[in-house]
Amino acid sequence: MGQQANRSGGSLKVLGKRLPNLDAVERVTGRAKYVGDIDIPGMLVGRALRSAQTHARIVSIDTSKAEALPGVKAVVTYKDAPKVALWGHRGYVLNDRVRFRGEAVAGVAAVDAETAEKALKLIAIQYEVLPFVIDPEEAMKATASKLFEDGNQEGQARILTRGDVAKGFTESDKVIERMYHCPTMWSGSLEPRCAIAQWDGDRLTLWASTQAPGRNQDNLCALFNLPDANVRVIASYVGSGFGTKSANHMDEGLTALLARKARRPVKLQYSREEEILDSNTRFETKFYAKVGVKKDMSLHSLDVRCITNLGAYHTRLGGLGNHCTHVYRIPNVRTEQYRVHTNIPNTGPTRGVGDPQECFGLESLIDEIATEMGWEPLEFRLKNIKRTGDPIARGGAGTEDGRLVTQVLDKCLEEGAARIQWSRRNATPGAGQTGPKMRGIGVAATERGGGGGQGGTTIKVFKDGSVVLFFASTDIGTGTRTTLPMIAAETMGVPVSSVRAVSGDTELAPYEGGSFGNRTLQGTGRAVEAASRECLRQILAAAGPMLNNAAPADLEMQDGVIRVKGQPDRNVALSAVMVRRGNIVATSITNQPQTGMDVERTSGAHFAEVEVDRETGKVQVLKYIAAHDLGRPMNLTIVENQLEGGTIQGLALTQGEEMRFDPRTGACLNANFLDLKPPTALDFDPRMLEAIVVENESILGPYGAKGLGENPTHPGMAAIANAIFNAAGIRLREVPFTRADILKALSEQQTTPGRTA
Amino acid sequence: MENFSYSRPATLKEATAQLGKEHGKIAIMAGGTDIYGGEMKDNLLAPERLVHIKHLKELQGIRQGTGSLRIGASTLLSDIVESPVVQKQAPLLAMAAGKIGTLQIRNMGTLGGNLCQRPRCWYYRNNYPCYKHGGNACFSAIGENDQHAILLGGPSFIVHPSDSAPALVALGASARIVSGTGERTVPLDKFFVTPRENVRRENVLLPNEILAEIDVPNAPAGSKAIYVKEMVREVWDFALCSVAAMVTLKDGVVQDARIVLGGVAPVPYRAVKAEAALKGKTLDEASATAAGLAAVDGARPLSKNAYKIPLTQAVVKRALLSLA
Amino acid sequence: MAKVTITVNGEARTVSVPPETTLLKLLREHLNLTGAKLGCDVGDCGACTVIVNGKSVNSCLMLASQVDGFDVLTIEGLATTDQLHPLQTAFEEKGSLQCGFCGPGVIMSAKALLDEEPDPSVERIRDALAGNLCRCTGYSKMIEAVQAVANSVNSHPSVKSA
Repeated sequence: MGQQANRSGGSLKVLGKRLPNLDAVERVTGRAKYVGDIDIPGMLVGRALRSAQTHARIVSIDTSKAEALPGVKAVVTYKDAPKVALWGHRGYVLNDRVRFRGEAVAGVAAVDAETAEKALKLIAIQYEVLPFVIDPEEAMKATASKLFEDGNQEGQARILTRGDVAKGFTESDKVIERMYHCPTMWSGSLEPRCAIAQWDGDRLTLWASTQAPGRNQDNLCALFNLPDANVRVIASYVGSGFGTKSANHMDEGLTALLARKARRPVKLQYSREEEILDSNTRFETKFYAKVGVKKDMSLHSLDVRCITNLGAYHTRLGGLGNHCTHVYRIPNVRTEQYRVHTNIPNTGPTRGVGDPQECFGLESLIDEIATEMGWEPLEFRLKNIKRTGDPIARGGAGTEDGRLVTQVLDKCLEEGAARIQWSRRNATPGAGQTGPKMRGIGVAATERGGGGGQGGTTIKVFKDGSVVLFFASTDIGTGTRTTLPMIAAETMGVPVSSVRAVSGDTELAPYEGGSFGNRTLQGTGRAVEAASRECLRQILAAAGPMLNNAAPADLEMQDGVIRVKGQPDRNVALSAVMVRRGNIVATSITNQPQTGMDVERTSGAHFAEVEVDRETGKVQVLKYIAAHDLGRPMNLTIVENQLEGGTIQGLALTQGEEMRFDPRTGACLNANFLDLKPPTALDFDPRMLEAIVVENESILGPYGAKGLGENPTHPGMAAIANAIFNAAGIRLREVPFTRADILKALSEQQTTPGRTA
Repeated sequence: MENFSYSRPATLKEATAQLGKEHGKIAIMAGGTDIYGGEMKDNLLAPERLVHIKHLKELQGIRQGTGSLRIGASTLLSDIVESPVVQKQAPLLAMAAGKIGTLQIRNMGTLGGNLCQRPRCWYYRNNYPCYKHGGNACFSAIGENDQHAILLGGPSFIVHPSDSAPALVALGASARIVSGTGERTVPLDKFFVTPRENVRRENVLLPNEILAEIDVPNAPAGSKAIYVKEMVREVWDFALCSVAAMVTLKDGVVQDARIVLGGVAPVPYRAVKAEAALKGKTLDEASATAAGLAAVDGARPLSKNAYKIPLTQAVVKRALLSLA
Repeated sequence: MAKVTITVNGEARTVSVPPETTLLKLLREHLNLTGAKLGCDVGDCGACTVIVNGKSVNSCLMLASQVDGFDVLTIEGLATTDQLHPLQTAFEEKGSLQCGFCGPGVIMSAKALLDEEPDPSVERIRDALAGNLCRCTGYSKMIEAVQAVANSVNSHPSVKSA
């Protein structure tokens, strides 16, 4: 219903403009309360005891001394933990076995931090130390130490096929094989996790730094065997999440467990080290790829075997996205994914999930085969990318049973290429050298879905015409508390300033899982549009009698004034209508709309110009274009923020953020910011980054909007790798791109002249 | 962190009277960015008592010495960066101090603290039982050693993390050290010790001594200097390698050269062979390249830090050429 | 226990705290000024940045006992009851914050810069913000906001940035 009306002419009044975030004042004044800022009377301090073992069975755990310490109100161990797995996780809140160094093995609630720390030291644990494994390929071997009884592989290998890759390779004119490696990386938030749990009889309220109050609620209900109505999860201001806070986590269950045992509210605040080691990391991928092409510049066969390192417990994600099957027209495709547990900290959803890693592999491979064939990489891509109308798989299988619509990847590539002046690119790698500095330009393409799942909202119009919009997902910095009110304001015809959003409270709004996977704007936005239309319908029905019984079809509302169409003098203020009507409440619950043959995706292309210093191995990004399809932009400032911030996060993976493990002990050596080195204001000059919004409209999203949050993080690694190759003729197949990597590759190039790989 | 008592002595004499016989039992704190913010919070150090010295008047200030500047050890790094007299008389120090940490850290950290900070080696910081912690091993030797030493390393392969140290060694600075029983002055290049000399510590300070003042000779008349710091990030990072270079030229010919490296050895490394290679030569591409090569002469890479050799070579060469 | 008297946002406050209490903890837990954030507690992120005696510092690295007698300015001290500080207005209008967690620290670093240099270059702004990590924004709209305030001060020299 909504879709036709989107494009029924008439310009948008609110959407598409720049608007400061409606809650910006709270943030710039420091008044915004994040969970760590909240105090509940009687609140205790919770702390987790973290194991220094990498893989061990707990033989005995003695908490008696800790419990006896004055000021300690509760101590919990695996014995207290419900025997219910965390969702998407192989473990309980606390386990009788340690599977990564830093795993929580006990929890304490005490009157203050000092007492809690003392109590932790009084917990005595005896372990049976087990051999550990941290490399996923090692972990797949029959001889590897097993984390679980059924072995280390999570589920069966996921296989996606179409056509016949082996036959395809025999038909190809050229076949190459490569491996690309992304190590385990940190991709987390500035705000460390924090949760406050408060019980009132058998009703639980949990404040959490979470993106997914709905999912948290589900899991807490399962953990404590409670009806949904008994558990309330509240996320107020969240200091970013990037996916790491998008599913239930052990700390929420632990905090609730402690609060229940102590019979007092408990706040458990993670330290930075805990946030790095026990939130979610970005999973390691080993991407073995074989591609075959024909002389006519077509992609013919692609075979990818991808092994991901899930870390100790995570089960849900960890596979490839859809680049291999969705970006290019390839008749023969096979992907085989192995997801493997090892004794390193949990991986999980992090911005882009596996798409940045898959994009790095595929887009580097595309450039490599183009190089082998002497083809220009942009031309090669344009020839082979899927376009609107092309077959594409609807589900997760290889068969292309759907039809791609609203695809503008070609425009992303063309507009980005024009902006960076692609023709400045070196015809041969290394040709753009002046002295020790070598310049080059590279490209990478990406795509994703999004906007799915159940979305819901309740909109309340008060008797004075002011509006509150409730939604259970969150605003983690993505501006949904602004864009959703903008949609409501646009749809109803009221000023944005009269609409306020209340987010992140499972008690106040229809169920939604949360904010992740490009979903909130499109998914919840649809519900907001629908509920707004319903409010408007009721308003116009109530206004009619006040305007000489005008029919609702003859009425419209603009800026909070209801008018008879074509007769602006016949009008009445919304507040006058509402005073008589009393308040209006409308709820809308929508669900994943991609049924039928049409498949809509979100795409983008990044272009990087780099300068490689042959003597120091330093790589500087001189110019960077991020061209993205996001359907119709709802709020230009927010869109730019997502494009800029997401792009920098993707680029960060080329410079640092690798988690380093000691192979002898399995310990993480660099669980701190100084060693992980997230980018500062001096690292990627914002002036060199340009975001392009490619014109397009979604057929699914409200007012033509598509989701955006994740895509800008995908292409950075590949774009830089491809640019480095163009600049220096060296091919880097592992991130981050360190001085050591570059100097080594350059020196190998010297010793084997003519070698360009 | 364990409980500790703290004291705020009114004078330097009172402060020295409170020190003990064992490193780590009683710790002195100036800015606290490493001793408190790093070592104590990471549980590397659990002193019974923390003796504050930042406020001591005897440790403050930048005064004129004899052809030198005398800088109190508790002088803030940001004050050193912004000081007109330091910029004029010892610009190399101001440049190097400006590369330390971030503005916030320079607003809290002191010169003494920067010189006496402990290593950044991740085995050390993760409390591995290494030599620096009184153990019998260096885990970086056959481990993750991309950050570690290529010169003068062994048995420990840490690199000295200070930026002010290479600059001060290049300037020929000396350290005035005070204890309850007296004081001594040590040239800064003797203040730092290699692992072979003392594997547990990085400098000669005894547990009952306080570094009170640095005497910084004025840069030679007509000299030019630069401090170059290569890092992974553009800022807020310790050096992959750094170079403090100061040359005095006459008609383009090198009269005197001081080249001191950071981030490549357990002490600030005076590249004497590089200095010798330059003396009497015209400073140009050829001599700067030769100096770069000479600077890494004798470098022995570990399994993952060989890149530091060409990197250091290049940085020395370029630092020198920028002064030509 | 250490008795500490500091002037916070113009108001003299005296508290009695254990000696290892950081200025950050003192502000957040004893004075209920939760604007400065706990991002890492070891001076590696800048989320706790406040201004002490006119200089930006990481409050998580200062012991309360070190600031006895000092002047401390936090984000809560910028706006008056009627008006936001020009930096806050600019950050709001430019869309400089996303999740906002780094916001108070960044704004204090920007304030410290403008107090010393009313007309900084982009390079100087980037330098001044280099000690504040942001994961969301890539920093560009923060720099724009600081530039906007600098420009407006320049065109209205009577407007102070205090």
